[in-house]
Amino acid sequence: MRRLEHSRNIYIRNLALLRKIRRLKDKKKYQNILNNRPNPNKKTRVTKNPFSNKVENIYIDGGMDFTLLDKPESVIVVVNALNTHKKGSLFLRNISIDLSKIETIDIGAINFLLAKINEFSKMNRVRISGNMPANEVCRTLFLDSGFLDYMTTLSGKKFTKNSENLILSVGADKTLNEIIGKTIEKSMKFLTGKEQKYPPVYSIIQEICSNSVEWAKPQSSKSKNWLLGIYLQTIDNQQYVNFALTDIGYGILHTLNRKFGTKLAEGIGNVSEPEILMRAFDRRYGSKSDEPNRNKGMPLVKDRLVRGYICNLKVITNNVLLDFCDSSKNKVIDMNLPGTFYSWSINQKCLDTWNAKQLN
Amino acid sequence: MFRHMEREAVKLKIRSDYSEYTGPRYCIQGASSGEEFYHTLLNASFVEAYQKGQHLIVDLDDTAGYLSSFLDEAFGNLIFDFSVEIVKPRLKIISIQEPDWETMIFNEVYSDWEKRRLNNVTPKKTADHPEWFKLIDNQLISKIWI
Repeated sequence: MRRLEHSRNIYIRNLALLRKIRRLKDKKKYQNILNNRPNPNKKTRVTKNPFSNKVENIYIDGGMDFTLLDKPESVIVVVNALNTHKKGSLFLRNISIDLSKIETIDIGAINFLLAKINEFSKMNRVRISGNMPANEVCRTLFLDSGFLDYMTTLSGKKFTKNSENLILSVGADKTLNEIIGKTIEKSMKFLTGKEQKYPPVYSIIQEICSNSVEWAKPQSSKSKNWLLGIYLQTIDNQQYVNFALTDIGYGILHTLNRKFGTKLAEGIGNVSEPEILMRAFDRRYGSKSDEPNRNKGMPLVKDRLVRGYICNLKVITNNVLLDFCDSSKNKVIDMNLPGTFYSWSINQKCLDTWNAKQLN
Repeated sequence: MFRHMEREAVKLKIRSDYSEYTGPRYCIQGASSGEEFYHTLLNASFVEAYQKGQHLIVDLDDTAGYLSSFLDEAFGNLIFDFSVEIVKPRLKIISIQEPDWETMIFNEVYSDWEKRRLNNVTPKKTADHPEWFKLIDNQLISKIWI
């Protein structure tokens, strides 16, 4: 009798324990659901494979601002989100980019996004999809930019092209002289009515590309890409051919060959990062090759601006935005842009300066 | 005077004799490079002019444009193999469209590469080239130097 009572007590105690365990499990399950609920305010959301626990799908929200020249941070967030998942790309299947909420956009942002997408599309089995801005102005710019030349509809068809703008992929491990030259000639038709050569721009583009080709690490050359965007624009009856060159890589500041003494002196002198970048364009630092005859490319870019053959030159690299025409717009960005973006324009005035130079 | 000089000169027009779309410094970086231009045309043309006691006139005009490194490598190698003393009085450059290139070659390339020659810092070769000429003790010697 006593034994029976003892067994009953054990049974009841076990039952209570089981209930307690179940309650704890339910609580944990509920907490898990709460923790893993999609956060609508988060820029990037991922879903993982339940077995391997590796990221399989990425959803990136473009946000409301997507401008490289006005708010570089808005683009860097998206680029860095993609970079974060590059290492585990073996398991990556889908990347979805939501641009529908965008209210402001520029060519630089479109170019950089495309360069990054190009990089990912070279990886096996990654499917990249997205939507277009709902905002009418942004949508038009997006459609006219040439971005869709690299995309297809869900049924695999190419988008129809409605503008003369284009984004040219000039990146691999070699410079593409003839393609670049002919593209410049075509774009000049917008200003002059006929195709013609414009050597200053050819020199600038080739200098930037050849520099990247030379210093790219062999293992990165496969995924390396430069995009040349050409956007034709009329502002206040003035026609502009805008050039945007995107180089995905390490950025200028991370690859400068500054000697220890120079670094120290600049640190003590409190030289700002935009100033350091400007000094690179003034040939104040040596070449990585340490050969005295090198390092003429970047100064040439600035020289063509100073002579008036191009205008509106802006450079964004690493954490610096450098506006060559308005130094008040120079700024240090809180984040690091993995690469360099050049933007400049030519208008009739540039062309007249160039023609006048040849007559003198 | 110029006409007389022209008649007695070896002429090289980059657009028609080499390429309309010139490229980067090294062969490895892309087509129509400065390195390739030197080894296929410039070295031989300069030797021809030198042997005939004439000028070499290189016309840079009418191309799509140049990279500074293309010109640096091509004309720099010429200095390295023949010295400023030999090249300077024999080389004429026509660059009406972009006179800056002429200035760059005469002011920067000449001095930078002469220093390099005196310090014996050999130029980088990124492709195999057939024999080319070099002036050693006033004697033209042809071989694969690097």
